[in-house]
Amino acid sequence: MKKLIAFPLLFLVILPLSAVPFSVSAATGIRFDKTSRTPAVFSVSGEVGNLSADLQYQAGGGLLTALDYRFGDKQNTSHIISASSTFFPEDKGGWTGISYLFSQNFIWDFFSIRYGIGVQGSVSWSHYSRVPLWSLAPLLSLSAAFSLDPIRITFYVSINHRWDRSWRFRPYCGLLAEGKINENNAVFVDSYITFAEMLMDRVVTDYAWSIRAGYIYRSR
Amino acid sequence: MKKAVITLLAILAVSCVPSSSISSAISENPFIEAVDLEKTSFIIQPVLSDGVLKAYPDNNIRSYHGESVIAFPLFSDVHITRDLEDSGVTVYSDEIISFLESNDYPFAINLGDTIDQGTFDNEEYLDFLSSAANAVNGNLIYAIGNHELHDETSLSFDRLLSLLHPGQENSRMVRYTYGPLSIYKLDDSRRTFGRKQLVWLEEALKQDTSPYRIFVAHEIVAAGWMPDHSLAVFGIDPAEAAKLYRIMAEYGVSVLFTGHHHKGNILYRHSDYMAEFNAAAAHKRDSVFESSGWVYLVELDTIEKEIRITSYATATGEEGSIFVTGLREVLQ
Repeated sequence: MKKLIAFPLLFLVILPLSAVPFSVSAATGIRFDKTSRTPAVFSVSGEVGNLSADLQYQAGGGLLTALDYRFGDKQNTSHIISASSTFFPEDKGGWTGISYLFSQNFIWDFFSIRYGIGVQGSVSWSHYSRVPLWSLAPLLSLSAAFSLDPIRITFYVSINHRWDRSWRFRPYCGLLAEGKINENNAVFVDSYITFAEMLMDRVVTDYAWSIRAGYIYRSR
Repeated sequence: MKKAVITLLAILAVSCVPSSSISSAISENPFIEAVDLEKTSFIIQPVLSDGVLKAYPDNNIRSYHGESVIAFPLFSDVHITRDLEDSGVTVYSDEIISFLESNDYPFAINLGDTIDQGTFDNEEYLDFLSSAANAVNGNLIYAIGNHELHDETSLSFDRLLSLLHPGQENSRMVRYTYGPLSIYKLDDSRRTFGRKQLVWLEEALKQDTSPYRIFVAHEIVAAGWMPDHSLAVFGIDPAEAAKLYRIMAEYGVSVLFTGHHHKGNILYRHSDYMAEFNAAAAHKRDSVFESSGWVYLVELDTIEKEIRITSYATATGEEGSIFVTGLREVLQ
């Protein structure tokens, strides 16, 4: 919890001194699946220049952190992402991965399309096992956004998700709606559903869904 | 596209249902009271006109007489009727029965996906199931697989297994005992154990007085050691896997047997006395992602404190690799 509070404070104290554009956001909601004891989730993120960082905590154990460094221009962007998820306090384990994603944006007046393609390599570990398990998964994403000031709605499908990073191939389908309060402040609602085993089986088996609401501040 | 939308809406509707419809239907911990394999013996007969099986009590009880090695056959992913759907598939029903009948085994373990499309009234499937069970006095421990969920008839897996094991209320999560051994049959057919099942498991292990414990389940838990598609797709959620490993380590569970992967023949040695053995499919498919068909003889050696898993080619009976891991004894 201390990390969750310190994280945005760090941004709010240091970044106003910087001329570099930045943003910070915080959100809360629920993430339901068959394994979680408590579905509540809390997340914060910050972005400065080309670097963004996310931190999400699921009540009852489970901390997801990610650093995303992007480069390129507005149309063609590359991301190098390092993500890590740990489980505590009793089930000591987690996974860590690094990925590369290339995305292209196509923007019109009220409509934009973005696709991304990449690959993620990760390793899962447990205090109780000396066997690290490796994973190599493709990253794919496709989103379509509709903007009519002050509302922007984005539909997306992707392998993997910013707020629910999986160490394996896991498809997501979601909707992000953002409403501007003014030039710097906005609120948003993000919801998604994810399911495993869909490609290998005709019966959809393990799935999870989430909905969260948050606030974002952008310096400019 | 239409199918995807319908599936998505179905998931959204189903998501309002409590976490697991099966575990919520079971009100008490199913692992506390064990089924004693030394006290059960049945003859199973298929009643093909009804598409069911019937079990008749038999007096041919097979008791544990203090033998230092407990040996039993194990197989997985028979996939009866898959040869009708996919090319390059050979199903070895008769060969598996011969393997089970080759010795007087007290029980056998079937890791699921025995039927390809969940059509439980299929004649070949009922014949296989009854023959396999009869080879071990009715003591066939049958873990539910994801293909058993493809129920296209009104006969559910639970009802089928209640016919196979009269008197057992549920069929998916059961603890069996044989002499000093506890066998926990788990349900991860939906690629997750679910929080409730793991809570029940831990409660039962705390009270379990058996010195030797093993787990059996269908879907592979560990995945990603082999350079094949297990790297991207298979394996359960790492958080749940970590919880399972903690339970295995803290309560002396020596091995988890799994299937599902088909290529199999992988021993994941988490420690000297804790491992997962992923069995290959018992059927053959001509594919680099699958196997030529394997069955196994498992020997729990209580003197040497080791578990030996010997593979045999299903088609020919030729011996293959032998996998060895430690057998942990929990002292009370």
